[in-house]
Amino acid sequence: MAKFRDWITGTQVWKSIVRHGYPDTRTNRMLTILSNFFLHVHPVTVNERYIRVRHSWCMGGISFLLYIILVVTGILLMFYYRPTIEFAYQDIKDLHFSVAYGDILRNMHRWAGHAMVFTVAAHMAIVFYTGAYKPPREFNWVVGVLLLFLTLFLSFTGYLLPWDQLSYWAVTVGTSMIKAFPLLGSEGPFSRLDGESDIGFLFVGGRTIGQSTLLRFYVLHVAFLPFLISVVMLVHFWRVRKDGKLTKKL
Amino acid sequence: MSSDPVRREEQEQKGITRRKFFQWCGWAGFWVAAGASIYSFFRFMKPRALFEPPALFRAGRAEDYPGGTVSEKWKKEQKVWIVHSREGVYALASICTHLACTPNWSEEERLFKCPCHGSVFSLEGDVVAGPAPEPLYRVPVQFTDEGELVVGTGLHGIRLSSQSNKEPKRSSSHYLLRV
Amino acid sequence: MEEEITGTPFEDLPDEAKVGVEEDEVTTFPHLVYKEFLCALAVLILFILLSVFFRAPLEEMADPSLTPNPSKAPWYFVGLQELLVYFDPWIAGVMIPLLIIVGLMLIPYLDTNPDGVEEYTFRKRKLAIITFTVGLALWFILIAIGYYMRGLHWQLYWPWESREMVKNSAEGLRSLPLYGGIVFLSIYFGLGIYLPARLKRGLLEEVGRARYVILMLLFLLMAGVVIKIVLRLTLNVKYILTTPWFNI
Repeated sequence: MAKFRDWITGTQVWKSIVRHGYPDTRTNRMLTILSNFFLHVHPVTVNERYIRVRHSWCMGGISFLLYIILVVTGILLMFYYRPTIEFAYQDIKDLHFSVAYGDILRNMHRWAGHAMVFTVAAHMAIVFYTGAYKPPREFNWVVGVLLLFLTLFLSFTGYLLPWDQLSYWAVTVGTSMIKAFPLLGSEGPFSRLDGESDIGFLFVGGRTIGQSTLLRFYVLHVAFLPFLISVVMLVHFWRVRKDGKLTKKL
Repeated sequence: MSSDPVRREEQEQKGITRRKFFQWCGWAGFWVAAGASIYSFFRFMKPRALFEPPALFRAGRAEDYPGGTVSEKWKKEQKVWIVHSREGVYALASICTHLACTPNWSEEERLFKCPCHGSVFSLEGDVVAGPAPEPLYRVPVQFTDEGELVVGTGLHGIRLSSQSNKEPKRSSSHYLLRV
Repeated sequence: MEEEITGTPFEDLPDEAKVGVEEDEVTTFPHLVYKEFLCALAVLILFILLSVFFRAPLEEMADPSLTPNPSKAPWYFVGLQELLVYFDPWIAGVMIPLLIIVGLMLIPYLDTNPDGVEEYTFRKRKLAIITFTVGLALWFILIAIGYYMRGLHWQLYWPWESREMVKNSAEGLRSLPLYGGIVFLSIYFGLGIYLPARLKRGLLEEVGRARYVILMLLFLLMAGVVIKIVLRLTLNVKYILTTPWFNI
């Protein structure tokens, strides 16, 4: 067995992929991080105190994991879901009752979505209680609040897609609140705009919640916002490294 | 004084140099283009044609709505109640002025009650209780020459006529038919 | 080349190579990477089990003419929906969320206390922790009230009351007259900004004038939300300030 392992790790193919020896020495452990694209988000060494579970409760990491779960399950759900008021509800029913594992996928997408809102908020609270937003990390806290906002917005746009009573009325109330925006909304104070050119119309895409609203929310939910949140997330992670979250003793 | 030679040269030459002029033109062009792109995005998001029910519909004859009744006949399709009260015949949009939920007509209490946040409206559409900031909107009603009732809905009529729920407009012949 | 790949154990390194390595520093691999891996596995297992045993809610198909009674927003917005009882939509649905987001973003710029970084401590930053906790608690209390105590027509039901019983919205709410509202609000914000600076000497100099005013405004706005709720519940106040353009 050991011989076979040695043979595998000795081949040119293996060596071309894994650029370090067995990680039982400090150098090789550092190289494990440095030479791996995905692990390279980490610094090579960390302060032992800051990686205790009871320090961060893993909330930032779990939020990111949930985001990955949501992307994967979301992409799979897209194979069976059509964003039209004619088919949307029926397709969700089909996912539950006729598509193999469709039930589990939609459940997971739903629960992970709710959980992500919670873990992002929990991550924020923990960062506050550990004072981790203090200089030089002020700006990354701002980026984090933006991520919280985007998470909520993603969750809200996804809420309409099943096109059931729950989603329809939650979004009716939600978009009416947007219409109450001072100045920019037709129902808000100091409004100069009518119901067809205000900020609410931009989201609804019509006079009432209907086909165009569903399509708009769908595009926001599966393309626009995931792209945006990914970019902001990259900034967030990059700044965690640059502002020295895990290495420096502040 | 800056150590950068280009900078120093610029600072030494007072007034508008050719370099400054073109620089200014370049940036102005950039910002105008950026602004135009943003405008075109918002304009793009506002559809020119809407595929929604027509803004006018025929609701039958006045006799179909006997005095003292509230008809829920058109609520599902057109989102209006047609009311025949002592005042006359008028049409109320079945859209809560608070957050656009659909209120229910309660026959025994003779009130419109919204399930979302508990707003209550009288037969005239006035707020009796709850958080609604305004009375229910009235939509235009008219008789045709043949004596048929024409109601103008489509939220077009409703949102544009947010004045319709206030006196004296609400009792004008545009919104109220005296029968 | 071969030399570099195998490397030397840390203990055997010459002393000059150990310079800059702190006592409690450990290599990320495996110490952090394995923790993350285990955590990810645990979360995945949890969510697979959740999805197998709990079905995501799906009600009847959307019907624009029939509003469910009561209809509730997703849980994280129920707090805002609860505020809609006390405030007009443009405050509860727009201004308060905006203020929360802006207020959160401003925290690192308003908190000048350099103590308590990377540790759980209450003693070193009492005021910051109390304020944040009160705000967080307020959010979740509002969610709990909206989620568990609101029944038909969004009326308040105690846990022991039957949800079938129909309750009516409170009638006869009163509003303060215009001058009353102006007086009330100017006294509230005026004293609220003036008094703390007056009573606690050195506070203004410590945090700076602009920072102090923003800080106090955010404090007062947060407290104001609670005050309006209390005024509504005890004195039936509908609006504190009534103007032709907007009401607060």
